This record gives sequence, C-alpha cells and structure tokens, in this order.
Amino acid sequence: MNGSPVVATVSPRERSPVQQSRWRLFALALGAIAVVVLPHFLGDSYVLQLVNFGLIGLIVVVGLNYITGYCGQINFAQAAFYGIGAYTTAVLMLKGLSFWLAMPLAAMATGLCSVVLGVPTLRLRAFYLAMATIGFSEIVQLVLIHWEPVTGGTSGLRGIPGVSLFGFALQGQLQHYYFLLAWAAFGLWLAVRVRSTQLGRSMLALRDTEIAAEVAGVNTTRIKSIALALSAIYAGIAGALYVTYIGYVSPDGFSTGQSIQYYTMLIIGGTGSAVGAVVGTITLTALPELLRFLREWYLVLYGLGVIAIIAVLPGGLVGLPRRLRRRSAPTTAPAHVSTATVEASPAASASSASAAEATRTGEMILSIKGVTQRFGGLIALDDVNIDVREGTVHAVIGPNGAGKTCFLNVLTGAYIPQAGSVKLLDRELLGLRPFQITHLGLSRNFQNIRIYPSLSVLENVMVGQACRSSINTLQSFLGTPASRREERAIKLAAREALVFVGLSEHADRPAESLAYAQRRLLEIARAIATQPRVLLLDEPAAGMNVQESTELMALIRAIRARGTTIVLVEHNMRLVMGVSDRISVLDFGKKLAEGSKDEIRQNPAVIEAYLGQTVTKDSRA
Amino acid sequence: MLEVEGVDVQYGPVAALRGVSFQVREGEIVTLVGANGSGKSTCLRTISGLLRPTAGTIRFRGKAIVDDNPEDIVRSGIAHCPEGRRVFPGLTVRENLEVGATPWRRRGDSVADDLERVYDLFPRLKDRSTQAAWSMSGGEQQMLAVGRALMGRPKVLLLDEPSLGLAPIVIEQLFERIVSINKLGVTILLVEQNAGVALSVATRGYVLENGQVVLEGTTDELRHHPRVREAYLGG
Amino acid sequence: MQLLQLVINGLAMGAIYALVALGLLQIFNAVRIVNFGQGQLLMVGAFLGLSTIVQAGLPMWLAYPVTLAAMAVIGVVFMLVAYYPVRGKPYYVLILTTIAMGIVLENLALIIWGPLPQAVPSPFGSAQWQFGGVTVSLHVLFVFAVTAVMLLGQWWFFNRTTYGRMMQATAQDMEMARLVGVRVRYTIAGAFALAAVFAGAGGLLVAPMFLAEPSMGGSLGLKAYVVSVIGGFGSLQGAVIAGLLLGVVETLAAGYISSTYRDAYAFIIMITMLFVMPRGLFGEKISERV
Repeated sequence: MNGSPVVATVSPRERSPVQQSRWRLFALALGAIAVVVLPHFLGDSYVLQLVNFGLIGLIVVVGLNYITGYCGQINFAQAAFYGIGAYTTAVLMLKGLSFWLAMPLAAMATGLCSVVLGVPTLRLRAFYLAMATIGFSEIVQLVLIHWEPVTGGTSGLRGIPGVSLFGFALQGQLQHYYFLLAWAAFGLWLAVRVRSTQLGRSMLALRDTEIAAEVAGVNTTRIKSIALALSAIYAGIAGALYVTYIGYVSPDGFSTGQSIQYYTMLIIGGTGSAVGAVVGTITLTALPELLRFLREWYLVLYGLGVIAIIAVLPGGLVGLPRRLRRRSAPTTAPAHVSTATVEASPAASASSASAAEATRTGEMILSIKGVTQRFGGLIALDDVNIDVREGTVHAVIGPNGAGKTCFLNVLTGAYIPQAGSVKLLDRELLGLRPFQITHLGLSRNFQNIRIYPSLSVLENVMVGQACRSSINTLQSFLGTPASRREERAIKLAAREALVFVGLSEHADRPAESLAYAQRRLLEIARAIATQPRVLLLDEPAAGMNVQESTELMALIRAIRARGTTIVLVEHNMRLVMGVSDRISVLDFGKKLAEGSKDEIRQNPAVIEAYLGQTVTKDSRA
Repeated sequence: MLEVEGVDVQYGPVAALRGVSFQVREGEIVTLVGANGSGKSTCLRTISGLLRPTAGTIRFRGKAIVDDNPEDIVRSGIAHCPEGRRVFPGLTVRENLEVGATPWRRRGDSVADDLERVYDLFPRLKDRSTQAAWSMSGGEQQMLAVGRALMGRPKVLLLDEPSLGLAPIVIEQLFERIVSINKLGVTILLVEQNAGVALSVATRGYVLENGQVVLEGTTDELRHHPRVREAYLGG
Repeated sequence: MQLLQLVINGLAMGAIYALVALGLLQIFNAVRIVNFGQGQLLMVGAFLGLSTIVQAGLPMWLAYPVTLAAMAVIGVVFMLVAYYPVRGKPYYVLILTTIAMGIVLENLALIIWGPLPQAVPSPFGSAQWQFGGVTVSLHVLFVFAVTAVMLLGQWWFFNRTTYGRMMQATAQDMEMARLVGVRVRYTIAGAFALAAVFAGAGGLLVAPMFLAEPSMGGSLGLKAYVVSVIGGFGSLQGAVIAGLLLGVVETLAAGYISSTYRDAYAFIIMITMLFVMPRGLFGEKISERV
C-alpha cells in the first residue's frame, strides 16, 4: 500500500489546544464539587426531592437522546418504557426479588419491547416510528390502568421495598441523592463516550444522511434498533430507580403526554450532545417551580416558548452560549499546519504508477448482465451489459439522462432493477442492501456530495471503516481494551486515507467547513476507507477547476496503483481520456459502444450522440 | 432586455457563480453552455428569484429584479422552465396548463385562447388533455412543461436542459418548436449540456466554467472555437 | 337489531374521525408535516360552538358559519405561529412545534371556558327516529350529511376551482408552483385554514354527542392519526374509508368483546397495520424521480 510508510510521520493531534482543555477540566471539577457538596445544605427538603426526581428524569432523557438526538428518530413512548421498567421492578420486588435482580430484568423487558416495536418500523420512513410509539404508549397506558390483578389498576402498587446497598438500606433524601447521582453520572458518561465510538459516529452519520451512511457500510436499521433499545433500557432502569425511591407506583406519569414532555426537554436542551439532555431536563424541571406565579398561563407560555426556542436556537439551549460568542468574536480558523513533507500530493507517488499503465487486462471483477430498470413508462436502463476487469479504470460516459447515475444506483443497491444481474466476482449484488454491498467490496461517492456535516473530517472517514470492524457493538459501547485498540487502528487508517487524498491537515475541522473540491476528496477518502475492491466514482470532477481536476486525475491513478478497480462516471472528457483504460458509452439507457480510448474517440455513433443531431440547421433569420 | 451583471451566488461555503455577466436582447435565443456543475442552472435559478445573489444585479427591461420573489418575477414576464420538467404529476395536462396561467389570470378570465395557442404548438397535448401528467412520456412532459410556461404569457422564457433524457427525434421536434416560439416573439435563454443542439438554434452563446463566463460570441464563433470543440462537442 | 344499531353509532363516530383526518391530510399534503395539534383545533371548534350558540345565543344558521369562519382565521394564526417561523427545520424538531401549539390551544381553552365539560346543543335537539328496534337520532344523520357535504365540497374545491388547483400544485411541487406564479405563502395559509375548518366542523358535530371539554382534543386527534396511517398517509379516500371502518370496528368491539379496552383497539389495529401493511390501505403515493 503506497500510503503506509507515510503514516509514522503524521503527528496525532487528539486534543484541542491545551489551555482550553485545562479550563474545561477546571469547570468540570468545580461542577462536580458543587454537585457533591451543595445538597448537604438542602437537607431533607422539598427541593432535594425535586432534584432527585430531576435526576431520574435526566436518565430518561439522556436515554432518549440515543434514538432522537443521535439518530434523529421520533420516540413518543419513552415514558411508556419508563413505566414498564417501573412496574416490572415493582411486581418483581413485591414478589421478594432484590433490587439488583429486579432492575436488570426490568431493563431487559423494556429493551425487548423496544426491539419488537422498532425492528419492523425503523425500516420505514421516519414518522412511522412516531406513530408506532404513540400507539404502543397508549396501549401500555390502558394496560396499566385495566390489568388490575397485576398492576393494581388506577390505585397502583404500594409498599415496594427500597434499595439496599451492601446490606445498608438507603435512607433519607440525601442518601438517595447520591445513589441516583451515581446512576445519572454513569448514564451520562456512557452517552458522552459513545459519541467517540464507531457506534456513535454511525448514529450521527445516519442522522445526517442515511443513504451515505449505508454506502459507508453502516447497517442503519441495526444501528437505529440499538439506539432505540438503549433508550428503552435507560428508561427501564430509571423506572426501577423511581419505584424504589418513592415506594409506590401508579399509572400517572407514564402517558404519551409525559413522553412528549421528555421529548421536549431533549429538543429544547439541544439534540446531538448528551449535555443538551442535561440542560433541557434541568430547565423544564425547574421552570414549572420557578414560574408558579403564572398559574394557568404557564402552559400557554410554555408552548409558545418551545416554538420560540426552536425557531431562534437551532441547536437548542445548549447552543446559546456558542451563538452569543459567535456574535461577539469572529471564529478563529483552525490554522493548524501538519508536517508539510507528508503533503507531497498523491500526484507524485502516482506518476510512477501511470508510467506502468499500458493496457491492463486483469481478471473480470464486476460483471453487469442484462440490467433493465424502468420507472413507470420510462426505461432508464435497457439491457445493459458491462464487464469490468480488475485493476482498470473503466469509464462510463454518455449524455445527460443517458442512465449513468441510474446505473450507479443499481450497482450500489439504491435501485432494484426489473431484470438482469450484477456480480462482484461470484457474488450477486442485486437485492442486497447498500451496506451489504459495501461490505462485499464495492463503494462509491455521490454526485451531489453527501458528507456528514456534524462530524469532523477525520470522523467522516472513520465511519467508512465501520465494515472492517471486528468489534461488536457492546464492546464498542463499553469501551473494552480490544475496542480501544481497534479505535486507534481505525483512526490510524482514516488518517492514512486522508493523507492519501491530501486532506490530512484538515482532519480535525468540522466537515461542513470544507470547500467544495475538498468535500469531493473527503467522500473519496471515506470510500477508500471501506477498502473497496471496486470504487465507483460518480462525476468526481463536477464543479472542479482545471487544476483541481488535474490533481484528481493523479489521485485516481494512485488509487488504481493500490490495486483498486475504478468505475468512473464522468462528463469531463479530459479526465475520462486522461485516466481510463476502457470506456463504455451509454445513450438512452443502452450501451452504445465500448472500447479503448482511441476506439471510442473515433466511433461515429459516439461522436453523433455527443454532438447531438444538427437539428433545425441554421433555419433562423 | 435581460441584463445579468457581476452576479455572485454562494451555496453555503461553495461559490456557484463568480462575477457572471451576460445580456439577452429582445427576440434573441441565447444559450449558456457548460459542463455539469458549471453554474448554468444556478444562473437561471438566480434570474427567476429562487436564489438570491450575494453580489451583482439583474435587470429586466431596465428594472432591477434581484430582490423580487419568484412569484413576482414570473408576473413581470420571465418564465422559468426548470430542469427535470417538473410537471405537476397529480394534475391533468389541461390543469397543468391552466395553473400556468396564474401570472396574469384574474377571476373569470378565460384561458381558452392561450390554451389554443399552446395546443397549436404541441398538438399532442390536446390529444392528452385529460390525462394525468405523471403518466406521460418524457418528451410529452417536456412539451407540457414548455407549454405551461407559455401559458404565463412570458416575454422571456428560461429553458433549463430541455433535451435531458429525450430521444434524438424528440429533441429535434422540441427544438423546432422552440424556434417557432421564438418567432412568436418570445425571447429565449437556453441552458443546454447538449451544446451541439443548443448552438444550432441559438443566435449567441456564453460558455460557463466553474461559475464563470469564459467565452462568449455568436454561435458560429463558438462552434469553431477550439476550446468549445474539445470540451463540449466531443473533439 | 343491536348489531345494526352499533354499526350506525360506529359510522357516526367514524365520520367524525374522517373529518378530522381530512383536515390533517390537508396540512400534510401541503407541507409534509403531521399536525399534532389537529385534535386541539377540533376542541376549539366545539367551544366556539358553545360560545356562539349558548353564550351569544346566535341562531344555528348563523352560529355555524361564524364558528367555521373563526376557525379559518385560527388556522392561519396556527400556521403563522407553529409553521412559518420554523419551516425548513428537521422533521423531528418540527413535530414538536405543532404539539406545542396544541398545548397552547388546550390551555387557552382552559382559561377561557374552564375545565368543566359543557353541553352544546345540536340543531336538531334530541329528536330521534325509530325504525323497528333501531334508534337513530337526527343529529347522527346530520353528522353523515355534513361529512358528505364537506367531502364533496372539498373535492369540488380542489378539482373545479382555480384556487384549489393552485393548492394542489403547491402540494405537489412547491418550488415549481412559485415558478408559475402561485403565491405559495397564501396557498399554505389556505391549507391550514381549511384544515382548521374541517376540525371546527368536527368539533361542532362532536360536542352535542359527547360534551365540550378542553382535554377532548387529545384522544380525537390521536384517532385521526391512526385513521391516516391505516388509510395510507396522504390518501384522502383512504382516510374516509379507514375512518368509517375504525368507527364501526371500535363500536362493535366495545359492544361484543370488551369496552374496557375500547381505546386500545384503534392502536392495536394501527400497529398491526404497520407490521403487515405499512403503506396502509390505499398506499402512500410515492413518486419516483429519475
């Protein structure tokens, strides 16, 4: 691999500037001390009880953040999951089980419910999960009220024993406070941590653009199911804590309305970071107390306030300080320059490869046979046959609307054609989901660029490593040594891919700050990171100027030199003629011609298709 | 008649147009040619008010229109027929055409004459007038899209890639119609990837690359310009 | 006979569900947002009926149009507050603004009309007809008539008027609609106004059957979403048929199986539908663009 010797010289830059991190550490320590010490002065007061309820609510909302904040899915059953956790714990503990047995069972029960609910609906469009969770939540509410022998009906269950910790029963608000605080802190820590794991990156990637996440090898349905299960498990544990804290349980507080309240806390606080969940929970727990004087007007203003915050603060309350800061001071560009020697553009290493070019005739790697794709009455692809040989650059050209992009969409599983077969070596690709195709070794970029704007440049590429991961989700979530080792390996490989395309100095910038041509390179780096056998490039030169497209040409040669086969769909004839080993021409969904550069250049049918008919001659006055 | 002067357009951080200037005179067919992503469609979208430029002005009959809404710009006489046809799929052919009359139609105004005019140009549309637009072929949809734009009684017609995905014979018919529309007194600004066809009907042309005008001239000049031949006419 | 009686009662309930669902789809088809405040709009309609008929003492023929006109205005206000400032935001955020607007309406109603359930008279009082063993109140027939008229009116408006066609064009391709000169801000406002009118009609019809109370919107709104999902989101005829079906099934199940879980049947049917036939009875219209 041509990039590997370079890797050692890349300086890893894990942390933001030292000063900032020191300040953050200080603030964090101060906050921690306050959280530990302050409650002592509150005693067994009403306020402390409110704080304790707030901590339980926090666990529920931080859990909701997995599916809603990280994945962008609507879950209106979070309170129902909470209720299932609470009732399961209550029933089991009344039967004599200890908390430490009942709580995990309750968590499992909620997790199971979420899987049953999520698996069929998460594949569908977004609002179906909203509907399914509302339905589920309403049913749960009715069952809690009417299944009296088990749930005790509207009066609920009483006399639930408290928690004992190493033989000591928890007593008083303060002890409970520390117990709940420990749980909330642990839950929060996991939620913050997951952001920097493969699981967390996959979640944000699919929220940003689902199809691009699939193509990077992320099984989006699975990731969404895991996120929903995590949400439900958090809610289940919170339910167990709730019943053992107050000792009784009734159907109030587990309604759809309550779910919406949790949802509001999260959105208002700010989605996408677990800190938003904290801010939202604190705000909406404290607000009703502080605004008591408004009485019946409170909820009216609350509703309007929610709309106002959504309209004015796209990032939620947690984004408020940043917004204010941005207004007062211009953002400083990350003027970080990495070792310049590394940046010797891929062109240098590629030129030797291009010399060795000649006509390549490797083994057949990708074979497309008789593919026909119709949309209603429109035939986009009509019995297309194309064979791609290993180690070549195979260009597919043709006028706009000739079916080129449709062709790529068929190859990568976005469309399922009416007839034909697409084989990568011996594996049939048709009918597979996009991520499965990526796993088999076929990756692509997108004509209308699809990067993940909420991730950093490096993280964008790291998502592409998803399919080469051997670590399971649980390990990654818990941060086992093996997963940390792999995380380092992923990071290294991602950096290598960035060096390869020449973006390494931008690794830690947010992806959305990249310029147009750089975004294209980032997509290519992400695709390379999946270690494809075949790389599909959809108009990679679109919108690039001459110099940029010359660099791109070198990059394409360098990718081929690594042994990756390239299928290139492109309009820019300079690029096509510059790098292609073989060219297929599509016109009106049919293959018009195929051959070497020279054959294509001289093919009269091709010239005509590109020239177009000389229509009405010069019939104008 | 239509003057575009020093227009810059940004898509987020991406500069889509950089200092683009060109003019369209009354009665002309002017074409913008260029590769995918060179900013041709962006030009049209800016003229019709869908995009707001960060710099520069656009004047129509001497009046600046850069700050107007698309709804007002079409009322002033600029019809935009965007890429991909974009007929209203759930409406019938006739309903599509009637909606096209929105810019001038007041309560009770009859659209019969305008309908006749469009049906004369595209007899196929008359045969299919009660058919749902989505069920028509690509070429028919393109005719419908042009016809719908004409229903607004435009002075200037902006056509974005009308040949997209159409068979040569259909393209030929369509471009004959475009020439007849022009002869009826409608000025045309034509964006085409298919430079050969575009240059065959236009009077003048501009070549866009990376959001900038790099060449301009009469169609003959452009057709014989080596740069155009190599990049857009296939050598 | 009991069966027939139950079916008629169920159809009456179903007609109301269909009305609310039609309003919901009005907004969904125009701006692709599921309005979670639709039920609260219905509740406002019921209370406006109370104010105009009982409190202001207007004659019925005046009270109804006044209420519906007021609803249209409220619909536009709804749009200006809950949709216009936040348009273009991700859907999982937008959904919250319509919920918040529902909360606002519900609590305003609480302040204005108080928490107690109140009776709103029907134009037909409590007149009933007897056919053999079946009792049909005149009001129920009125519900059918109004639903039918509203449906026909909606069909006529959308397919036979210029403005209706402009609204269809907006729903199908908003940007293109602007390019042919449709002032989409007005057509979107029109969609919200119409949605509110439908909800208001539902409120006027429901109030005499049950009672008007501020919390009545929540459950009726939920049923309207269920109906939309079962019918296939976006499909008008699907909503009507699913609405009538749900009304009948619910009433029969409550009569013959168990009334304890009366409200659960709708959700069980919906979740089952999501599992086996997620696109609903009439399928969501999906237009594929090449």
